[in-house]
Amino acid sequence: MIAAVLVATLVQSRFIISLLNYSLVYVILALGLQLIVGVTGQLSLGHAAFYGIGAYASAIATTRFGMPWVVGILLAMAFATLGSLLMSLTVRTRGIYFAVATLAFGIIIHLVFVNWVPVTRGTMGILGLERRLWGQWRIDSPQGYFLFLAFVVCAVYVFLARLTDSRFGRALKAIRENELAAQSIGIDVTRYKIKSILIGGATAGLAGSMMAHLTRMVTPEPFGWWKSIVLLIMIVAGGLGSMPGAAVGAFVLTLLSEYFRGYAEYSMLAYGLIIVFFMIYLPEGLAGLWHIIIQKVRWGGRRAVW
Amino acid sequence: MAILEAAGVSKSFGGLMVLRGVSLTLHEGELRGLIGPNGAGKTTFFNILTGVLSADSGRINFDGQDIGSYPIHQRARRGLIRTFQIPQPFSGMTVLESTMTGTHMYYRAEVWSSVLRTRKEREEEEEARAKAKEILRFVGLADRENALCANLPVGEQRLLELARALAAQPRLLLLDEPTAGLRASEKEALKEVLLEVNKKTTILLVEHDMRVVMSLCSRISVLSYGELIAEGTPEEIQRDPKVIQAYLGEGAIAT
Amino acid sequence: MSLAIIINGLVVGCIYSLIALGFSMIFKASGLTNFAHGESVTIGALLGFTVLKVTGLPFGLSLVLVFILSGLLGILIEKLAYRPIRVKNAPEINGVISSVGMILILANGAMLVWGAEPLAYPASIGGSLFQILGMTVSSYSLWILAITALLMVVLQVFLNRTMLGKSMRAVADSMLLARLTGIKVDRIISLTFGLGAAFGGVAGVLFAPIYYASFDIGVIGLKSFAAAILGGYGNMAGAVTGGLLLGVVEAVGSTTISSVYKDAIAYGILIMILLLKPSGLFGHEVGRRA
Repeated sequence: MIAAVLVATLVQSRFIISLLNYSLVYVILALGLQLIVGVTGQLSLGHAAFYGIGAYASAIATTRFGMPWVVGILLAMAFATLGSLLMSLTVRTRGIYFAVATLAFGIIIHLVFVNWVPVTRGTMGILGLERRLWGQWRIDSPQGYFLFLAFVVCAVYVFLARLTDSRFGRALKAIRENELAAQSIGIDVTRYKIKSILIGGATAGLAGSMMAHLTRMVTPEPFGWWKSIVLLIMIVAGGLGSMPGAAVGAFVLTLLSEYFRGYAEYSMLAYGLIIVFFMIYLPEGLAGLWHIIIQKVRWGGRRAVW
Repeated sequence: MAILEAAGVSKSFGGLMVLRGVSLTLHEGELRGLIGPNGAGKTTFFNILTGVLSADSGRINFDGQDIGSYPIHQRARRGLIRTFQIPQPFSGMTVLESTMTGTHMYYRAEVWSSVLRTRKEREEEEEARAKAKEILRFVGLADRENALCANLPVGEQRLLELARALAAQPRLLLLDEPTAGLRASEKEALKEVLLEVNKKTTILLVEHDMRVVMSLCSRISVLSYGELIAEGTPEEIQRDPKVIQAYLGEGAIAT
Repeated sequence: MSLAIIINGLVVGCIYSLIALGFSMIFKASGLTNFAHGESVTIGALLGFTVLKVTGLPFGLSLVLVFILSGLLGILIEKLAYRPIRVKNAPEINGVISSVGMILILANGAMLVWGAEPLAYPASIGGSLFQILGMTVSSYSLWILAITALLMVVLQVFLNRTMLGKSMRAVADSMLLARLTGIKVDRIISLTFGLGAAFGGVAGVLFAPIYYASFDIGVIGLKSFAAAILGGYGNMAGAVTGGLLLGVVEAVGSTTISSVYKDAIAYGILIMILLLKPSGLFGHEVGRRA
């Protein structure tokens, strides 16, 4: 957080600040997805749907109903949670079937964004979003937005890191490692899977609201199924199951892809190469690499103190 | 007092009858052995008791309650805890973490108390950690606390299974071949541990090693081709002609 | 509801069937659900475009050429992206994630090679329209039906009569037993990927004239996956039935319910099947290897 304040005061370049802002939104998305995929072991390929639901909820609330952005954020999270509740019907499916069901779910939601014109304005999109947080309180400068985002990211990070490192988190990991064994010690697998999906979905909704007001517009384009895959790549590169890994993976990959925007045609190709590379040579991602380095330096494991 | 009453449990896969009307009553505090030649249906019976499979017919009463329709985790919540013939470790967890997970049912912390690290949550975590450590000391894995479960050798995997099950504080502990793959010295150590566990917990033990069964169990039930063919003390079982026939028919000799 | 709609559904269903066969084959042999299988359709359609344009070969021969090229590509991809993971005995999810990455590589690679614009096949392939039993049918639809049927027969003969085909079935039944009997399992798996991709490629060439060829048509793979599951995942006959069924249901649904949400209907059906009947409509094949 202190680093964020320093960055905000020191960095004047609008380009770099907006680059950082984009990256931070992706960090939120990746953290939420990490809870579902990396921690609970449920390969969700529909995460972008909740990102989109959040963006539209926030945009519609603030433009059409003139609500302040804070309400927009809350509504974004609420609707994204509702959406994930719908998707969590699919937790009864296992393994690859869950992946396919969530992928299909994401595609259906995206089709709704494109075709439900009276509400979403279709491919025209919703333009002119304001950043009126509450009353007359606004965040118009990129630096201000950056600070706000950094605060939100920290909050989400602490929330999820603590959640992962607790009785609740152990139950999720137990489900990831071995569902049968988890049930055999009394863990209600279905309930925990659903909770994990709801929490992940809510954070994606939050990210949606953040992105909507960052770009001041919402179109269906960024919420397609390939975005879910890009998010998956971020957490795979960062290291499945690791919250710091997800944050770093999302941050670095977004920075890179935004920085090399001129080569956008190649970015997806590069993403694909990255994910295959990591799966073959470094399935534990950057976090795994980090662990190897750390273990060379010192020994022992402690509970992270957050 | 009877803690478990299985009555007329039958199960078939395809056309094959794996269990034919098996009835078994366990009394509180017992250490009962369940033996039988390969393919007798022991593991299937375990799977039906714990809810992994559902019986085609029959009743299962646990602690006076018909649990036949309960899902696995609800049976566990009533104190019916098992280990697996093929260890099912939480590979990516450390030994300590895995054993702490075993205490899951006894604590309440959910999302918000975990995130806010409430005093209650911290106390619970401390307690869970202490309990897990105590259990690991008890089964003899104290020095492996920080090892990854996946990295343990077979013998320690079995102990790990047992530790996780004990952490769940079973009222009835179902052990599926806990000594398979262990060295003689490891078996002896495990026997001591099981006798100690039995002071507080009822145990149903499926085991191939006759020496282990005969020396540990007060009573033994014998399954053969899905039928319960005998029940009695180790001496009675060793003399029972039906049992001898069942085993000799398989080419094995009960010692 | 007219018969023409059903015929149309069957025609699209044939395409689904061909792709679904690949999904099932690959899953049966290697245990991997190859998410990128849909991209073999993309590559096939685009390769077909180039072959037709550059060589001027007749449609039938182009089809054969694409069959071979797609097959080779499938083998290559298996070697590069899947085998290194499979031999490490990594968790199932790793292979799946790798195949998800493969989607991006293939689709975007195709975009770099062929561009982002949809490419139309020569109109002459579409064939002439004629009347049967009072319906207007294009001769090309009949071609699709015929070629699909032919491929099914060839596949059946191949799997049941040839040594290679029998080895494939052996590997699919039990990798361990196959290995014990001296079958080179890795080679067979690689060939199965090739065969699956070849079928996908042909599906692409057949599909392109009634749609178009473009880097992003691989999404059809997801619907075909629905078809594979509908018929019982890993079951060859099921994949074909599932494909035809899905084609018809989708065609009927899009005319009677909503054409905008035509895809949504197919995906909705997919979710329903996964939830209610994951073993498929006929339910004898379990979607998980022992």
